[in-house]
Amino acid sequence: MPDSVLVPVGRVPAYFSTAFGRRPKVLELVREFVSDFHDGVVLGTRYPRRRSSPRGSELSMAAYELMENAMVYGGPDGESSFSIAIDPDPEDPANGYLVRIKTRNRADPYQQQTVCQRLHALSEAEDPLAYYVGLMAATARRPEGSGLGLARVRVEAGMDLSCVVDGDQLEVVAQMRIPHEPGGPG
Amino acid sequence: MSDSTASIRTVTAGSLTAEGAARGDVIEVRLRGSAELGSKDLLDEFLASVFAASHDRREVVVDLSELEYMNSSALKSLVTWIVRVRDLPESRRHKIRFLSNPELHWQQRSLHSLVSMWSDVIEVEEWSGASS
Repeated sequence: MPDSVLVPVGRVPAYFSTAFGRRPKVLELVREFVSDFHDGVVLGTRYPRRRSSPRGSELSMAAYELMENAMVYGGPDGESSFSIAIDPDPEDPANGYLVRIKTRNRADPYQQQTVCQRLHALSEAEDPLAYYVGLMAATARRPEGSGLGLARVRVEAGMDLSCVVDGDQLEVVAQMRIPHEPGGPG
Repeated sequence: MSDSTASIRTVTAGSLTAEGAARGDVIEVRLRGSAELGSKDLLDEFLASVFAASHDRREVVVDLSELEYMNSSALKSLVTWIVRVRDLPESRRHKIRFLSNPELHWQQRSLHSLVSMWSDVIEVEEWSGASS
């Protein structure tokens, strides 16, 4: 149960962004922040430390996985960026909201192509869960790299994923339209 | 043949602590903290020691009730271990029972994914809240 109540913002847009280097501790801090950010902005509540709403938990997992990819593949000296935006759902602003998480990092052409191909395969999969568990089975016997992070975001957070290549930069976007809970901020 | 005194070395990686012990024909494992970037190698090593100690046991119980988060690399460590167990001859294969914390929502989703693949060796039980 939430231990305190903040002023519910509900349908007002909210945005947060940060730049980060290769500091793993940042991943943990942002992961914890993202669920608090969602729960505070959308639900007007704050859960006890290390707890969150189910949706907040999904978003914090997605933020972590995308940031970890950006940190690992951005290189030892690379600066990466992260943002999360919560806006009224443009197609149904009265009843829902849109969450958009973005990461941006330097990536060589091979990495750019690999990530974008993975996202394409994920979006084309008829059954994302079957695709994900198939990937798990395949990766179990491979020593390096899990390759599971993006599929996990798609399946376990239910977010749509896309990529944008801009010169030597790779931007990955995860987004999801979410209906307001009955009795939620209104 | 199982060794009832087999011990499993506790490992700590960042905020993750993994510990285990054999009790009769059951291995009890507990993961606490958070398995994040940098913890995969030690988690692999830990699960390899669990695998070595679990031959001819009936069950391995994995308590996740205090595991706040597990990244996809650590999830892969679990997957690799599960596949090793499934590769054992059926007569030597044991069950893996996860104790999940319903307040840590990622666990329901990630464990559901694992069960959907390997329900023949995995069970998931909701943690009762009683700590030993």
